[in-house]
Amino acid sequence: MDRALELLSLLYELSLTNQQYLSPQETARNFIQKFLSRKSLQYGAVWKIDSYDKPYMRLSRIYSIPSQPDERELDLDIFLNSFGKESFTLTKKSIFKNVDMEGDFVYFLLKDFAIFELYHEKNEKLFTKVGFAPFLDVVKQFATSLESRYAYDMLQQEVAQRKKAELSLMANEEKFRRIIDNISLGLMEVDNNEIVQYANESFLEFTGYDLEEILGKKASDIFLDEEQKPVMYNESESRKEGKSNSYELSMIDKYGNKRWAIISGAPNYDKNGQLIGSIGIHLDITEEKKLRQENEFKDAQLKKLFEKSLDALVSIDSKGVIFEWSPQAEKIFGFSAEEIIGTHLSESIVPSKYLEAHETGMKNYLTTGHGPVLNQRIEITATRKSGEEFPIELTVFPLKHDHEEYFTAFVRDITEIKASKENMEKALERQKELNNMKSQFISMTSHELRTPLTTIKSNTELLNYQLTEQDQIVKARLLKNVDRIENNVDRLNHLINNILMIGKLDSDKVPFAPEPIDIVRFIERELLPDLESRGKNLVIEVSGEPDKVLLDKKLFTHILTNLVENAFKYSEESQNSPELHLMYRSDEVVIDIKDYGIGIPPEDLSSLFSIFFRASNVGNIQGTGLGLSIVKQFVELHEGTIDVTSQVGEGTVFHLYFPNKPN
Amino acid sequence: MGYQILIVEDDQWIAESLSEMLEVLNHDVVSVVDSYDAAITMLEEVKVEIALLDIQIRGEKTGIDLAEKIKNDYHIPFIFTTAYADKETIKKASVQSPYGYLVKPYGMKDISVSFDFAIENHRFISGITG
Repeated sequence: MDRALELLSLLYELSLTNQQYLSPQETARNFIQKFLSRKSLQYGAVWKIDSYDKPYMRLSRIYSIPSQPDERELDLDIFLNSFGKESFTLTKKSIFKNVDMEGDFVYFLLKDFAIFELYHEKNEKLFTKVGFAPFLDVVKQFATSLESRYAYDMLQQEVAQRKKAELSLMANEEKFRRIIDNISLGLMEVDNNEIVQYANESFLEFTGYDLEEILGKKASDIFLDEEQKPVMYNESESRKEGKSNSYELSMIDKYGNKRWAIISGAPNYDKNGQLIGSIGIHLDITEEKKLRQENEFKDAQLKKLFEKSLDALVSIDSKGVIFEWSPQAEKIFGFSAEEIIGTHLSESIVPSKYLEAHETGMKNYLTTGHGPVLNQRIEITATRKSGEEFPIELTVFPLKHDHEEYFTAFVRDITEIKASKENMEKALERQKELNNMKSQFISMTSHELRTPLTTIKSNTELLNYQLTEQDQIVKARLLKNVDRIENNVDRLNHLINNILMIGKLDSDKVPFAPEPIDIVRFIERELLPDLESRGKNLVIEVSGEPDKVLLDKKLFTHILTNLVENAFKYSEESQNSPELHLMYRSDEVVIDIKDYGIGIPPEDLSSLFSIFFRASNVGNIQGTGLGLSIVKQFVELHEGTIDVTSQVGEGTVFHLYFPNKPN
Repeated sequence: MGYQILIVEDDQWIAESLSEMLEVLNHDVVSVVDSYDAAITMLEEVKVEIALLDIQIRGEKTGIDLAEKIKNDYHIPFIFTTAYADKETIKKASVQSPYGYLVKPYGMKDISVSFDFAIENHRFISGITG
C-alpha cells in the first residue's frame, strides 16, 4: 500500500510538473529531478532529436543531471531496434555512440522528437519492463508537455525575432527618413483619402508650409487649384489600382504662388500588402517651367513678329540659300515660301546689277568678318517675282550658330514711301512756287499800282505849283496836268478791277452761268454799237452751220471786248481793220480775232498769258499785263482754249476754241 | 543853278510829268529815253550831269545794268527811280552804289533833295579819287 501511495504521489507530482508553464529546459529539469530524487537514480537526461540522418542520428541536450556534453550521436539502426514496438527500452549499456558506461539504462522515446534517459549502476528492481510500466502515461504526458513548451518557445522566439526585425525595420525607416529629408526631392505620403501622413523637409520648403499645418489635411485642398484637381484625381485613381505614375502638376504654395512639380507617385502598402495610400516624390520645376513659359512666350512673340511684321524677314545661309521667308516677304516679293525656300538669293530677289557686289560682300564677310553694309539700314533695290525692280530699305544681321554663318534680313518695301515722298516734295515745290508767285504778284501789283500813282502825284504837285507859285496861269498846262491825272486814275481803276478779277478767278469766285447764245446776234448787239460809236470798224466773217453755243454772257463779252480792243490798240497805225472770223465746226466753235498790227516777238509768245507780262515791243501803248491772263482763264471756264499766232510787223491772230456741246 | 538831266523811263505819263517837274525845278532835261541802248546813245552824244534811272525799262537790260555802265564809263551821279521798294530790288540796286533812290510815287521835294545829295556826294567822291 505504501508503495502504491508513493507511486501515486510521484505520478501526481510528475503530472503537476508537466502542467507548469515553463521553458522546455525547466520542464525537463523538474521531471528528471523528480525521478532521480524519488527513485534514487544516479543520472537522467532528455535529448532532443535534431536529425535522423544515416548512419547517426544527432541529438542535442535539453537537460541532464548531472551535466553531460551538449550533443550525442546515435546509430540509426540501434535506434530503430530499440524502439521497435515499445516506446521504451532497457539496456545494460548506453545506446549512444562513444559513451562507455555500464549499468542499468532505460530509454523512453518522447513522441518523435526527444529521448528520455535514466541510469543507475545497479537497480534490477526498477529497471524492468514492469518496473517502468506505471510511468508510461506520465512520460507520454511529459512528452506532450515538453513538445508544447518547445512550440511555445519557438513561437516566443519567432515573436522575438519578428520584434527584432520590426525594430530594425524601424531603425531603417528612421535612416530612410533622414535620407529623404535631406534629399532635394519633395516627398509626401497620403492615405487613401489623400490625407497627408508625412512630408519631408524639401517638400515643406517647396510648399512653404510647416509639417503641422498640413498633417491630417486633404492634400488636394491645400495644394491644388480647381484647374489641377481633376488632373490629380485621375492620377490618384490610377494609383489606387496600384499603378505608379509620373506627371506634371501645378501646386499653390502657402503664399498663393503657383509652383510646378514633376510628381512621381507610387502606391503605398502596409506589411500585409494592404494599399494604405500613396507616396509622391516632387521635383520642383517651377523655374524651368517659368523659363519654358517665358521661352514659349518669346517664341510666340517671335513667331508673331515673324508673321505680322510689316518688314519682310528673309534668312539665308552662308551659301546664299534662302531658308526663312516670312508671310510679309511673300507679299512684298510675290514669291511664296514654298517656291523660294531652298533657292539661291541671286536666282530671285537680288537685281542682276547687285549680284557681283552681293557675292563679294558675302565672301569678304565670311573670310574677314568685316561687313560694311551689315547691321545698318541701307536703301537699295530688289526684284519682285514679276521682274519689277523696286526700292527697299534693307537691314542685314549676321548670325553665327554651330559654326555656321547665317544672315537675316529685314526688308521694307519703300515704293510707296518713296512715291509719297516724291509727291510731297512735288507738293512742297508747288507750294513754294505758289508762294513765290504770290509774293511776286504782290510785288508786281504794288509796282503797277505805284506807276499811275506817280503820275497822279506828280501832276497834282505841278498843278499846285502853278496855282500857288506862278504869277501867270497857263490854262493849257493846267489842262494837260488834269488830263494826265484823269488818264491815270482810269488806268488805276482798270488795274484794280483786273487785279480783283484775278483774285476772284484764283479763289473760284467768278460767277459762271452759261446759256445758249447765238454768237453773231450777240456780237451785233453787244459789241459793234460801241465800236461804231468810236468810229472803229471790225470785219466779221462767219462760216459753217450757225448754232447756239453755251456761253456765259458777261464773261464772253469780256473775252471779246478785251481781244478786239487789243486788236485795235496794237494796230493803230495799220491801214487794215481788225477782223473777226467765226467758224462753226461739228464739235467746236472757233473765233479768230486778227489784227494787222505790230505783232509779238516770238520770244514773248510763251509768256503772253502770264500776269503782268507785256511784250517787249509795246512801247508807250498802255496796258496792265493782266488782260490776256484774265481772258485765258475765262475761256478755260468755258472748257475752251486760246492760243496765238503772230508775226512782228505783220499782225497777230488770237484763236478761241469753244466746245459746241448739244444744248 | 540847274543840271543837265537824262531821264530813262518807260512809262510815258511818268516821263512827261517828271520832265515838267524838273523844268519847274530849273533843270534841263536833255533827253527822255526808255531803254538801255537809247540811254547809252544819248550819254555818248550829249553832256549829262545827272541820270535818273527807272529800273524796269524796255528791253532785256534793266536800269541797274545801265547804272553799272554809267558808273564804270561815264562817272556821273545817277539816281534810281522805281516803283519797286522790295528788299531784293533795293539790294540789287545798292550794289551799284547809287547817289539816290527815289521810290515812286515821288514828289518835287524828293527830287530836289536827292539831287542836292547826289551832287554833293559826287563832288566829294571826285575830290578823293581825283
